Amino acid sequence: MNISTLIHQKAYETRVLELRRHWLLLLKRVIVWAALAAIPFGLFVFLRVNVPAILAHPVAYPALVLGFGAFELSMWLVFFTMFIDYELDLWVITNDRLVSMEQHGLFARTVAELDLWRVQDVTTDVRGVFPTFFNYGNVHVQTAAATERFLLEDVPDPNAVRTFILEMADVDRRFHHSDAMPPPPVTTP
Amino acid sequence: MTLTLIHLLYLFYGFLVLFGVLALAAIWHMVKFGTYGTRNYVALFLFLAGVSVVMWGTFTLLRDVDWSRPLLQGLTLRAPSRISL
Repeated sequence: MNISTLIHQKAYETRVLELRRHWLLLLKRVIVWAALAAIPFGLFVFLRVNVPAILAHPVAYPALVLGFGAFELSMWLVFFTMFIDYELDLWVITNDRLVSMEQHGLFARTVAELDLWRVQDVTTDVRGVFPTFFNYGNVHVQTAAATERFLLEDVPDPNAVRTFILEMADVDRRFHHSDAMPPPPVTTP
Repeated sequence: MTLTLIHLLYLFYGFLVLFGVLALAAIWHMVKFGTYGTRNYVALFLFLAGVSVVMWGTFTLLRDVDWSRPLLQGLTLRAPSRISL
């Protein structure tokens, strides 16, 4: 599915920015995942060196192979779910609104949007060693109506995103303001 | 009833069914909500390739197993012959 269909893009809308979480977050998870996925191989080597009899045992050997197989399949599913979780978290800024799509695991998904002209305040939050060095962090968007803040999590270059949202909001606010103004009075001679 | 290795294999098949359902749900999510890009195709290919390799490896290693062997072979429970107080 393309992004226009995902966000139900209107005819007058143009997509100006698409944001995902910083790639480093996926990399960190993949490293932890790879370490966990390697456990059965390490255990196999350990057993081969220290308890070789168990690998020749007519019952223990197939039980171990089945267990390792199930574990590795689960790990592949975890890997794929992790990727989906990363890939399907998407924030799209158009010239009219900000659309947030967040995937939480396999069976939970949140989609929300706000009109840019309602944006009142945008704040950024960069905390920690990695976020500081790799320049990623959270962007909080506050509107007049919403009591809860709109959160763009771990996006790259949060300060530029903040500036950009504020500029877009300003443009959209001017457009809405001119749209709401009554037509100029007609002067009769 | 004696539990044999084949019961363990049935358990593994049960796991495979559950795995298949969850994998289909994951792929469905990607198709339904994902954007068609190279990254998605690469991830899907890696996932399917990884699953194929693990399945192939598992069943290759289990090729020569005698599935009729009882699971608790070699384990015996003996009552103490004499209790000394």
